[in-house]
Amino acid sequence: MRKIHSRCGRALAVASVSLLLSLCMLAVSCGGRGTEGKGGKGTNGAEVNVSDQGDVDALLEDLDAIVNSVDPADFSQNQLSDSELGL
Amino acid sequence: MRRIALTLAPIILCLCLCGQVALAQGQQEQQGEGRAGKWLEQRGEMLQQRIELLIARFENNKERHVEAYNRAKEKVKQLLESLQAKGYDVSKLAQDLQTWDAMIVKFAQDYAAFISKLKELSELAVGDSEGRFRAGLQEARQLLRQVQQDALDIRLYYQQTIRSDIQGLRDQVPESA
Repeated sequence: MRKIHSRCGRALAVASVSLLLSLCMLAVSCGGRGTEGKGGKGTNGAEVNVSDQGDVDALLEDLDAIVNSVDPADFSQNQLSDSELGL
Repeated sequence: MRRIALTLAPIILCLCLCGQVALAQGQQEQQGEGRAGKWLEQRGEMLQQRIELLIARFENNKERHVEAYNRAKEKVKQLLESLQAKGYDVSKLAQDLQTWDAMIVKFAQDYAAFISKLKELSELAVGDSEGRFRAGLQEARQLLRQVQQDALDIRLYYQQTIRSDIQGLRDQVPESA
């Protein structure tokens, strides 16, 4: 009876350790994949960072809005016409 | 003697009448000139006020333009630094940024010359000849045309050069991360 108990205890300990190990490995592999944000490989084998592409797209949108917020027509000849001067 | 007096009397009378008429005409002309002078002065002051108003409007527009250009420049600079740190080749974009900066400086300089001419014009509006004012106005319009061209060049340089070079960087593969 004592032998059976000690065998069960050992098996339980081995099972717990292996479960813990597998959990750790799973966590490490998930962390590596999820947070890096790496995309496909480039032509020379180096990885292209997807977050860089997103940053560039967002910046281009911002820049378009800023540049289009001012109009060169603010300095058109009409602004200094005879009628503007009341002549 | 009597005959002489009779002959001279109408002549003297005529001379007196002519003198009075001439005097009255002179007074009328003086009054007219005075009124015209006053009208010209009022017109000049009104013109001066309009020019001051236009200067304020142009200054406001210039501030908005320069602020937008600087904001855009700063964003491109930040992207350039961030991508450079990640190993991207940003030499072309760095060169674009320098050219763009020079264009913005030129815009500011041409604008300053234009405003200076407008201020000069404002002085000419009161008490100066119409011809000189018109000549000054023509010069101011030419300077304004240059300012508008500078603003167009800045916008086109962004759309045709900087934008496409940034897009090129997006597809570039960095040498080392």
